[in-house]
Amino acid sequence: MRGGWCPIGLSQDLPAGIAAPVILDGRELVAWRTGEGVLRLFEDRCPHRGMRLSFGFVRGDALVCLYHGWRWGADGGCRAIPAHPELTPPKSLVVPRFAVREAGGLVWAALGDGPDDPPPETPADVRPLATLAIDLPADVVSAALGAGEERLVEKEEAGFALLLAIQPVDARRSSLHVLLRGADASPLAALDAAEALRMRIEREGAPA
Amino acid sequence: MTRDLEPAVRDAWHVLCRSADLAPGAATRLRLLSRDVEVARNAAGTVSARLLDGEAVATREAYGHVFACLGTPAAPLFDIAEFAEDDRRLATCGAVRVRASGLRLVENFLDMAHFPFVHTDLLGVEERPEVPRYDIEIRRDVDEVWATNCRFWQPRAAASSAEGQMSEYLYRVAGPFAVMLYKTCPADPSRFDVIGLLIRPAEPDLSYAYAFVLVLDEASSETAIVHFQQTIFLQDRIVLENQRPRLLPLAPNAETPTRADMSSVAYRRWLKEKGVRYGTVEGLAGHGEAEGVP
Amino acid sequence: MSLVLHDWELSADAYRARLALGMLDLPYTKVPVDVVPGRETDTPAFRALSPTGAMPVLVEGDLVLSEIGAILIHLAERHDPAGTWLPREPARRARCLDRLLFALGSLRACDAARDAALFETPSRIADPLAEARAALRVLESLLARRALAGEAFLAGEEPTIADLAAFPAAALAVDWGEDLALLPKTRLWTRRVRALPGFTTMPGVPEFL
Repeated sequence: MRGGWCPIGLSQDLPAGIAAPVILDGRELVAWRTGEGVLRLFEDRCPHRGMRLSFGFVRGDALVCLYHGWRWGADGGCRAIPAHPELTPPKSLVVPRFAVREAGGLVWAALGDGPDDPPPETPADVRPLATLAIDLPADVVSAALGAGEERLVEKEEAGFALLLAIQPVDARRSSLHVLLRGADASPLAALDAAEALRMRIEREGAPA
Repeated sequence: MTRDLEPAVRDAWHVLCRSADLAPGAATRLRLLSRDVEVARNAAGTVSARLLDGEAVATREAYGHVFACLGTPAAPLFDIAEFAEDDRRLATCGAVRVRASGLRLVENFLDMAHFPFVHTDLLGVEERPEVPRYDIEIRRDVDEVWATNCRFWQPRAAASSAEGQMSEYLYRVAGPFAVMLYKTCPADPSRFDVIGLLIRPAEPDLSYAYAFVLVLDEASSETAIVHFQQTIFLQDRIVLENQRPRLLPLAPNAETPTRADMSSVAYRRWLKEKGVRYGTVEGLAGHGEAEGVP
Repeated sequence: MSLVLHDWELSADAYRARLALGMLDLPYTKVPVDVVPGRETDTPAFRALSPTGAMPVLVEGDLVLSEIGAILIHLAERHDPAGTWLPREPARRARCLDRLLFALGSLRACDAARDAALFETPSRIADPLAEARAALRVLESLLARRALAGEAFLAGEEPTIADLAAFPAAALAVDWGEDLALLPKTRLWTRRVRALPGFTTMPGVPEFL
């Protein structure tokens, strides 16, 4: 799956002007949006002294490292080093970037070069519900959902049509990003159903 | 038992605990350099320590703390002359556990450029982030790293500060895991307050930080002084636990220093010259105890 | 009547009290207590104020309170004329108290995990890390439900003392290695609490929130 699109969150949970840590396949990443809403995915590590950039903050169109205030632009290049106000940072000073796309209320990322194909389509009648953390690796969750190699599956649960996007977090954990189909369905009751599904997966999938 | 430790670390002095935490007749077990050490104080007040599987280790009690050396001491315990000045007050802040290499803690302590961002409105303000050029030297006679002529504008430099000041700093690395600074005293600009950070490296990526201050401050309560230092250290701890990797890289291209990082560059060079591997990325293969190091 | 808070900068419970005092815009005097390393909470003088050694202690005239839940409820009842921090209407009040007791019950495992990570303080909780993570997951679920109902805070559209009680557990989680990466609604809610007038921060509360 490495190199393919993986879901990393609901679009609504990443509003403009915010940075958030993302753990994907054991890699520490930071997703952030500029004040104008441009979405980026960087390695979660400032090249200066290794500080996780997800602990920083967004100022305008730059991600600012908490440790020394180094500013990183949307292209990954260093914009400013506050300890040396007159210094123009060299062009070679960059944070590694990863491919990130939005589709149907979901945020998708790829660890390798961005795949040629776009991320999976979601039906037009979906609403985002929530992200559910699961204390099991993604392959166990995928097997429990009968998802095969797919990262996005539709599942009928207690009468609700749930769309489930499976994020591999690390060797022990995954995340389910849950969307609901159908304009008439009650989102609160659907979330109950999704949490019941999670409970069942964790009970059945727990190592003996 | 300690043969696998490089001499630069094995034969150096390391803090074990605060003196006040070891009452007469008391004994306690602590982790130092991936070994279990038992430290005790007898009824007469004398401190001793031994590796849990037998051998006695050298100890010293000074500066409000107990120190140990797991090998043969290469030098006497570093001297902090200001402890002889009897108008100073000592406040010891106790131990704070940090999931990071002790070397990362020393390096953070040497760093001024983070003041406006990590200690906002205490040790720095975002509007004045510049680090003016300072001097750095490895003093061969005492085998220490010194940074001198350091200046930084601070809104609230100490517990006793009422207003901002251009603080002058001297930094002194007295051992691989022992660092102190001398900074302008708000109460008496002709003298320096001393702040020290003594680190007990328990594992390559797990440290216990013992901060102390030796100040000219008659106004603040000891508790207020301790709380100020604890506040500062807890702000640093967020950074320290979230630097990647948790171990300190000594390879020159692993990170990106600038002129403000001259002290860190000199510290890393000094560590490399001495052959320090404990707590470094390069030493990871040699010490198998660090689990979960990214 | 003047307010005095026997306080430690690094205590999560003291922070809960400072948050409430700040949000209610109440002036107060801090008396610093040397909890670590001095163990002042074990001294007879402190135990006279706080029989269990719990900190902080709020003193207002003859009233001496050492249970954080009582401190939050008292401040809201006595000093919030608008009655928004602890609603008076019975159903809304009950919902607020329900979330408050969750924040000061299960969610307190986060404080135990933090105390262990910082100072190796022993806890009555068998596995503070596991319980803290489980409780944070419940918090995320509660907040996801509020979001679906169009409400921004734990007990409804307006912030209450339940939010103030829960905030330190989540906002200080990085102190014990929990970065909230898998709990997006919790992260967004902490930002909303941070943006409230009268908010005060403390060391350990990360900038990103």
